[in-house]
Amino acid sequence: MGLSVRTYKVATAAVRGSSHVERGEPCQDFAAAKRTKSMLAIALADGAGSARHADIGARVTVSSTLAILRREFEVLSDAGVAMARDRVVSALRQRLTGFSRQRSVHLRDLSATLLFAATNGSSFVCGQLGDGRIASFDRNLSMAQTMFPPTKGEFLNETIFVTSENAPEAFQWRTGAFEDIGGFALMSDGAEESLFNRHEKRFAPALTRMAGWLVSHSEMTAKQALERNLEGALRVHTDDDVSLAFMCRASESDPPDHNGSRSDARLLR
Amino acid sequence: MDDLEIQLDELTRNPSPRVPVSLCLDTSASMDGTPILELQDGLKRFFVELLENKGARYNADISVVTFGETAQQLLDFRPIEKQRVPELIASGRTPMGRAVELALDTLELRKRVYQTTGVDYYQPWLVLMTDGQPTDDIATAVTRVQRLVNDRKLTVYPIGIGPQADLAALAAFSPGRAPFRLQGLAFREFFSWLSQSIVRVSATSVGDDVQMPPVKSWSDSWD
Repeated sequence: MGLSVRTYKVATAAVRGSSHVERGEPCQDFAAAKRTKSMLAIALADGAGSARHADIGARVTVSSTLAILRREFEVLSDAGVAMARDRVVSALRQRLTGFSRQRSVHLRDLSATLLFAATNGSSFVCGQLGDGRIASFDRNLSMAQTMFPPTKGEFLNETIFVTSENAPEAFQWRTGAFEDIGGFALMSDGAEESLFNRHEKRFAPALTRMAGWLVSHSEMTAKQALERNLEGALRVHTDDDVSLAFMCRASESDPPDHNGSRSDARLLR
Repeated sequence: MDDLEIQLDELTRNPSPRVPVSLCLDTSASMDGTPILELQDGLKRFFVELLENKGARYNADISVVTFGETAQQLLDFRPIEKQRVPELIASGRTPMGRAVELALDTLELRKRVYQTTGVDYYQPWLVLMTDGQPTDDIATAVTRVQRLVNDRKLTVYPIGIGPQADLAALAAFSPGRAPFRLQGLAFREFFSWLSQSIVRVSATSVGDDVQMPPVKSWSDSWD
């Protein structure tokens, strides 16, 4: 018998980096989760520093992605990258284009990167556009490995955004069975700065420990702990915004509290 | 230890991103006297300003290549707090082509070090300053620079010093925009601008647009 989405718990958090605090600017990272009876998804977007409405772009990118995953998961769970480009990236760009026209803003001013993962309990889909990093955990949440190499240019301030011309080609996509996987973590480049050692190509011990919070605590407690730590230790080595999203296998006897998820449909109204 | 509190030793520390800058400076005989002294003074000020800025001191990665008696790298890329400002001596001719190629070669080597050690970096800069005209063949150097600039792999600041500077040669190294002409011997002002520019670039995040400070404090040319 396949696992159900009730087996998994999620927690997301995003906080402003010191540079945005000093300038009185909003957080340009956004992370959220969406749970239905048959699907659970997390998504994280990092708005481009050069985009005038980067914070809104990140929110719309995440909420649109969650809506697409909710509607399309069953089709996507068997999809190759070509179909995923069409069903996810093209659909997302259409939504962003519609939003930009509706609000009379330039599409480029909504630029953001995107990371997401979703499951129906037994299968998963994962996608990435731009920088940041997705980690997958082993069954015991004791080891983490990188899902995709980050899509970025040679230089630090170059990356791909959902709104970039070459976004469909740069989109990275994977599907599979959840059997041997304990969960996923999505992290913005700001959070990655403290959680992934680029020279040794390994994750910091803090990552698996935070994933474990979802096993031993409620979703709300884990979310609050994530927020506190993003405000604290995870901002020490960067002045960028920092954000994280976790989806981890807990147990059937410890169901999620259903308040870690949120619907962001209001953003599109 | 609080179960829900992450300690700093559970996190990783990646090296600061670097802004590699190669200063390719004319130290030919015609620079003797006040020009070389002013250039030396400006260079010292440049390092002092970088060291005084808490961001730039860890981000700036500076090399100095000179061309006069020969083309040579007087200062290799290193953390600036470990660097000593090299003594500039004016003599010889103006082997600009060889010097630019040496600057490009050393920038490429530096990028390979970044890549193998997991150091993020910004687009490299090449600052080319001369008061005369090249005395060697610059064709290969020009081709390499133009290719890099057109591929958005290099930013070049070609700067003419005094009325004898060969602005046409400098322009060949700068596709798409005219070279600068230094106001008198405003080296201090130029290097101050350069350190401020490095500070601005090193403070940018992914996707940020960088607005450089105005150049009117040191240049008669465009802004």
